[in-house]
Amino acid sequence: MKKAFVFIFLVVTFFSCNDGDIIITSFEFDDVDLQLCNGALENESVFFKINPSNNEAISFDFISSQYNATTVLEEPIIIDLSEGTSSLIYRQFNTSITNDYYCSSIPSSEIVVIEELKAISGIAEIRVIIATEDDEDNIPAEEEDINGNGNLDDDDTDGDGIPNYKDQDDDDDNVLTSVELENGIAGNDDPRDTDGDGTPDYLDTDDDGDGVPTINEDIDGDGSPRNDNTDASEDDDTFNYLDPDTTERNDNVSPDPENTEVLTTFRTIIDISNIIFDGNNENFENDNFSFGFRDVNSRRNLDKTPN
Amino acid sequence: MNRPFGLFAIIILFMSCSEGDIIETDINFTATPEDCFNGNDFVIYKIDTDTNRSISLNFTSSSFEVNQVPAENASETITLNGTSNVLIYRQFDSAINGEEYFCASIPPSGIIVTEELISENGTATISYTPISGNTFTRTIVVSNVTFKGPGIEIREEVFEFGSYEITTP
Repeated sequence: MKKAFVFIFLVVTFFSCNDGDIIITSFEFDDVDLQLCNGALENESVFFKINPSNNEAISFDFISSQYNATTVLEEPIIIDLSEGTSSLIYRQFNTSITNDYYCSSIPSSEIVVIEELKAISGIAEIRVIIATEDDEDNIPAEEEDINGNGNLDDDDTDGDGIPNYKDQDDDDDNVLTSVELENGIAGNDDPRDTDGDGTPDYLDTDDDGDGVPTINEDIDGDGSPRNDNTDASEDDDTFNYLDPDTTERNDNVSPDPENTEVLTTFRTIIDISNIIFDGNNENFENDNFSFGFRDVNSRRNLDKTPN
Repeated sequence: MNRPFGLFAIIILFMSCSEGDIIETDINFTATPEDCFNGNDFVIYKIDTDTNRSISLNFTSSSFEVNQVPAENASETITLNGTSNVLIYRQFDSAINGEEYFCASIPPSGIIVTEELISENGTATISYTPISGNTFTRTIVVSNVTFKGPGIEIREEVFEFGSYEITTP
């Protein structure tokens, strides 16, 4: 009798491993990165998040000729999920998946979808904004807030229309900020101030304080004062613009219209609201889902618009 | 003493029934090939709808175009390398729709591959014969292929993939 009981118990245990329906009550994708791949159709994009710890993923597939990861959108793109060409799909898999699960030309032969939720309606909002922008001049953007008011956009030392944090040449003297910083003193990170007038060279239009503006110490007029040393000798390898002994000047020079490249971080933000999933998913708690954002870095040139 | 032995025998019997089948896979079937692409990833595939099988030539090319014919109808060759260029035979548990299965941005759910054989070597030759105007026959022949799967290896010196019509724009 006892043996039979044990046997039945074992059989029951064996068959009860299959835990039936999985009830999903919320999504847990906050800690994973938003990814993007290009679909096979024209202008088709697939945003997805994969949570490897639960073998689950959520994807948002849409077609829009307006969307480009590096083009700022004045108005968000609105996609109605109840209309044919887009989809919002949550899936659980039998195994972990990688990014090439999506947008690949042939599906994996080993991955099996064990649970799927498809949105039958919902509104997706896609925004592309500029998250950060920097001139990569080796001064952190927040330290280019000269007047210290917390607004980076109203600090434009040279008045060329490009605020300092985006301006590769903050004082428009044709010597880039990045090469006007090093003061040659070990263990001292202060920006160089050649003439000691309290204005660091990168903000000083007359670096050596000899009365001739740095830009005009470009004697050969090639656009760079960094190859002009008229009193060069064995003991003097100092360019004119840093050498108070040289006061020759060239008035036929103007600020370089280039030097306007910035590193821009474009951010795509995707939010989906009023989601209704197919099937009986009354347990689902949120009718909104934020995909979060995805950043893309790109260098571009700004326009100088002098005040 | 007798009883534990009986139970043991039953367990052995129970565990041992899955392995050791004789596999007879015939990879040849006739169907009209179709194609699709995503970027530079191309798939030429054919599906046997009666038996739920497919054979697909997956390859990456920067010059191939689905609706174009190379200058002077020249042939194109693709060397199978096991990664970007492969020839794949699949048996499915249910019917598949080629347009929804291949080059789908989101793979279809609910389709299970019950058998898969992959050739990681061989050379695919894609050749063209003009029919009329801008209509051509594209023929795919793969030579020296070895389809490999779990416990199975099929070698074909010349594997006739098939032909289909294309129309250039």
